[in-house]
Amino acid sequence: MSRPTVNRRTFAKSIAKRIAAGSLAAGPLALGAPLVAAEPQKSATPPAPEQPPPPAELILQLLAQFYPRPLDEAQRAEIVRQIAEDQARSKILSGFALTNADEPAPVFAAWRSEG
Amino acid sequence: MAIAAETAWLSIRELGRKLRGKEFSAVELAEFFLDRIERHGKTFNAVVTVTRELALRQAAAADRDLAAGVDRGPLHGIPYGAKDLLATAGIPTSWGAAPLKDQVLDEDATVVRRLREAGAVLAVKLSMVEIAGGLGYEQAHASFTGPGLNPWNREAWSGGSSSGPGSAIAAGIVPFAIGSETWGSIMTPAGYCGVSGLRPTYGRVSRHGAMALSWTMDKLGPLARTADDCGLVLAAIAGADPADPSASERPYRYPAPEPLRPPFRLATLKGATDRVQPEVRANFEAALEALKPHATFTEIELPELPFNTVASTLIACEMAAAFEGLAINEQIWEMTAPEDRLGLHSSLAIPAKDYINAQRIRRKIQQAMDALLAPFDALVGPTLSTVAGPIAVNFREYHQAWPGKSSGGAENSSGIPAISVPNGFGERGLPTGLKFVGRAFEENRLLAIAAKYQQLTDWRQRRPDGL
Repeated sequence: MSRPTVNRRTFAKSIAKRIAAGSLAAGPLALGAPLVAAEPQKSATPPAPEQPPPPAELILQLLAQFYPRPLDEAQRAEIVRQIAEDQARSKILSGFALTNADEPAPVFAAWRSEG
Repeated sequence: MAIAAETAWLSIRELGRKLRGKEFSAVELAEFFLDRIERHGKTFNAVVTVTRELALRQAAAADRDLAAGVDRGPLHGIPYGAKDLLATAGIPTSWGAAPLKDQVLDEDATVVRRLREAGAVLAVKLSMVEIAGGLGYEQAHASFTGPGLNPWNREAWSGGSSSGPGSAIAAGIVPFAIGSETWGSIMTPAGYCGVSGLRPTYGRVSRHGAMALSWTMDKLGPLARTADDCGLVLAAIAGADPADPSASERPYRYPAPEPLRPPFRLATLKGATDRVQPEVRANFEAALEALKPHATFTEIELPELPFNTVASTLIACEMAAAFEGLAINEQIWEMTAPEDRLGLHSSLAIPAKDYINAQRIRRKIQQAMDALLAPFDALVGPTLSTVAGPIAVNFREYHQAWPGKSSGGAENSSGIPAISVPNGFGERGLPTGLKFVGRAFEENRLLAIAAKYQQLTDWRQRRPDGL
């Protein structure tokens, strides 16, 4: 299996750049794609600064890159709703008082075959 | 010799006595139940595959063994059905999902093998909600075999995701069945269909060969006519398995060498009957009244912990890992329920730290639940807040008026056992259930209490009309 030509952090940065430039939804992003943001179109008056899309929308855009399939508006809205539910759960989990010593429930064990 | 129609409603022990008393052979018994499966199974959308040839072959072997003096125990010659997420070599195993309906696996699940070794006869693969409900279904129409219909009222749902096992036991088409529960999938059909259903402790039964929805939450267990039947089946399928590292080494024996005797120490949850249907409340109160001479009762409260958040996160993340392939190969879009085509996507993007934090909090939940239950033999409550809803009604809509106070998230994230037994009827002639929950690996306490309740009442002997 060949290794990707960009690492995870560089890849994430490139996605962020493309989201900011509004070019992410245009098509699937391959790991080998050039890591440059699309050049914004020149206009006579500078555009008003845009607010970034809400996090759930961003996650949906990311998912659309990894699992490309055209979604209608209702489907997009439903997935965004579910992402928002996951994020609400995430906040509850992050807000729970845990100490550094609190280990996960399943105990991992080293393993070797018989003999 | 024709077998009496009443035979369909006998317990495993009663069937075994008649088999050994030569009132019928194992082949005749298999034919009797196969005929019932073929006559009634499709009526309730309970059947995926009838394994007639295999059943008759296994039944003939059971007869030969008995004639040769080889008795494999209480399940010898007893027909059963397996939820269609259990692998059966050479026989389709669909996981309830349309795109997988022709899937054939090359090995029997450990549970199927153990039941064969115990002399049981596999008669049918039973229907289920697609992918065991992990995709977030909100309606009964969530299986390629159609919505599971309730034998007590065919306009009502059978419950899920073990919909086929629930219907099959209620309709008397098999004496027992194997279902699975990740979060509610044995308790719900047992409660809605008015049958006995046991969810064993996590790790009590090997899941090797069973569809994995959530490796740290999935449990396999029996649905049957009585609590005693559930114990007999559990004894045949429990135990360590090199093929499933989660399967516990703790030995399990049924009947218990030292059975639990009354008075039982029972706990009830504060507010257990708040916002449940009136019949659910009345039947629960009547059940406590029946148990009163044989038990002490203490009201307790669940600790303040994020049970449902933890359980939801664990299932979502493990499901995403198990079924990412459905999104990649786009089979997800062939699921029956429209909401199931969307339910996987958001789970694919949950951060790893959420999963790990859920597992960290889970340890605290386990400790808190064990401390809560330690002074008692069982926590008793209504299995569900309602009777089964109408087939066409969305679950969220149906439960809005009667949300109840469920401890299901706490139980399943802890991996502790529970049993549901019928305790009466509610609106539209549908059954209600009584649930006993215990500490890890204390199935025999639950079985003893549930069996006592079934001695004191006759709900388990009721049967639907026309069957």
